[in-house]
Amino acid sequence: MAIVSKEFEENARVSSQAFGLPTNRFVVVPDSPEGIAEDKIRAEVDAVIDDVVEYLTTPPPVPGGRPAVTQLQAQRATTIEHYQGRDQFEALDQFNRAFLQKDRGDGFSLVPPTPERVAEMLKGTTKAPDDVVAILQPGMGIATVEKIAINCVMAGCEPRHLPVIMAAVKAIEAMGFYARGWLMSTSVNAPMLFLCGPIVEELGIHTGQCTLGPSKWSQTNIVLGRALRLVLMNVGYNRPRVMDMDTIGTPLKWSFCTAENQERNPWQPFHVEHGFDRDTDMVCVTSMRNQIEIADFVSKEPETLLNEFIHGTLSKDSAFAVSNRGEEARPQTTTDPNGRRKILPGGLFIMLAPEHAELLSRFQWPKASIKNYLWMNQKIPARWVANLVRWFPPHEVREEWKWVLKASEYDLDRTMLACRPSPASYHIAVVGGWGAKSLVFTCSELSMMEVTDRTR
Amino acid sequence: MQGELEGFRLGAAPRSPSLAGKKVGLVWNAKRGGDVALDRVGEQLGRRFPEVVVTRYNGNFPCAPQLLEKALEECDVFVGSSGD
Repeated sequence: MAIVSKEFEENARVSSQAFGLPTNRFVVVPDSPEGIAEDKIRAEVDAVIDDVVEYLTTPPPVPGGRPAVTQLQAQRATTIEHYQGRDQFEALDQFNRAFLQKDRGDGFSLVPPTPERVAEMLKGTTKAPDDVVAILQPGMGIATVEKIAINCVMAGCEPRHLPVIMAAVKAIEAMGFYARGWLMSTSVNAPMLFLCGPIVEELGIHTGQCTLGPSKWSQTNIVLGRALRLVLMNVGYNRPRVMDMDTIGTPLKWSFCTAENQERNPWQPFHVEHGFDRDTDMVCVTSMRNQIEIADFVSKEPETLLNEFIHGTLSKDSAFAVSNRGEEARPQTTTDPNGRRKILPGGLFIMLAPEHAELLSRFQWPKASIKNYLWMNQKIPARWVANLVRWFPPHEVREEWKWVLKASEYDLDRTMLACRPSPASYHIAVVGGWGAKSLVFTCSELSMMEVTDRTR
Repeated sequence: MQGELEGFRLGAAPRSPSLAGKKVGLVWNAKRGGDVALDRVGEQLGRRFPEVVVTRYNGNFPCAPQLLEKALEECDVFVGSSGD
């Protein structure tokens, strides 16, 4: 049994089904305990304690499972639904209303996934419709090629886009349990799809002016990002207020797809930097938070420009390096022996404006030096860490950080600490068009996956 | 092998009609306030059933298997906290 707050009741119910406990029972209290007074938490527990005792001492009424999981399993089979109207436009409206009502959409109009359109979409891959691409977090949905194709149709994709979304789904699976954390979190996590390799130009990904915005220029970016969102919702059950409990949310959740502006990138392509061949097509998936613009059109040397990044991105997220939360599930930063995938550590994802990249390269700074400079100089006073650590349960503080709880006042004020674990916590990609305005996000681990199974 | 996959379904743990004399484990996932709620559950169970022994296990997200195994060895009944 579980005690759940009202807003999380559906989340608890669906989670229990997805994680294999369909007979789990719930006692519902009004508030989530994270931000309310302790006396109120105790009073809410007291109000339901009779039910808690009953559920702890009596077996669930329907041993062996309620039909909810069966309902989930039934969704494995593709069904044909019919929508009618006075004309095709009204039928389209009916379809959209029904799909939204069933929580299958993102709020915008969807392209109807007719059998013909799905069959056409499936021509984009060499894989069979029933092939299982991945088991998708957080709801452990079975992501078959056909299910992914259906969502790609609804997002407005072309057949050649399908293998990109298949690779993105595999990239999320490669992050394991950790992905469940950020997908379901109350934090503002937006999955980003970042493409690398020849496929960027081949598909017409817009990497220049306002790459992350609306318009005909970014149409491919938009449908790819949207397709991943729909797959997460419809196959992974990552639906807001169900298995996505983001407190406020962000428009980046609708669609978030871009790539490096290679024409203006003075360094190696992102995937080459991380050990892949230039001709390999890759997707990189990560969860982005905390969008911060770094506007600097006055710097004439690397140091002053980079200092803007250092000062502008000092956020409380940096202190998460003191916590061991998620450590058990954190994906290892490894490359597979076949060179087809890789996990990179989380940290900051810097979308460096080409003008900023140009300044740094004019002074012949390699990317490694930029990362080292940022890491060495992005420091916070030990007092900041100590103030935060005091709020952590002691067992959640990494061993190497416990000293701040014992440090003298003098040392807390005098000591400055690097606020991220290593230079590898800084990811840099040249993105966007004209303007001395870079954009920085905090990011989870990055999962890189080769795009395979394409129809040539 | 979870979720939609056929055959993955766990039943509820066997229930005893009384918690009297039981060892109750409170497994906290380190989310704020969950400790307060769990401790209150422990207090209330202690008042209702004689000789209940309550132990708190300070876990994390996700909980380390070693901690769960330790709790399993030491207790008869568990109340956990999950999420926010």
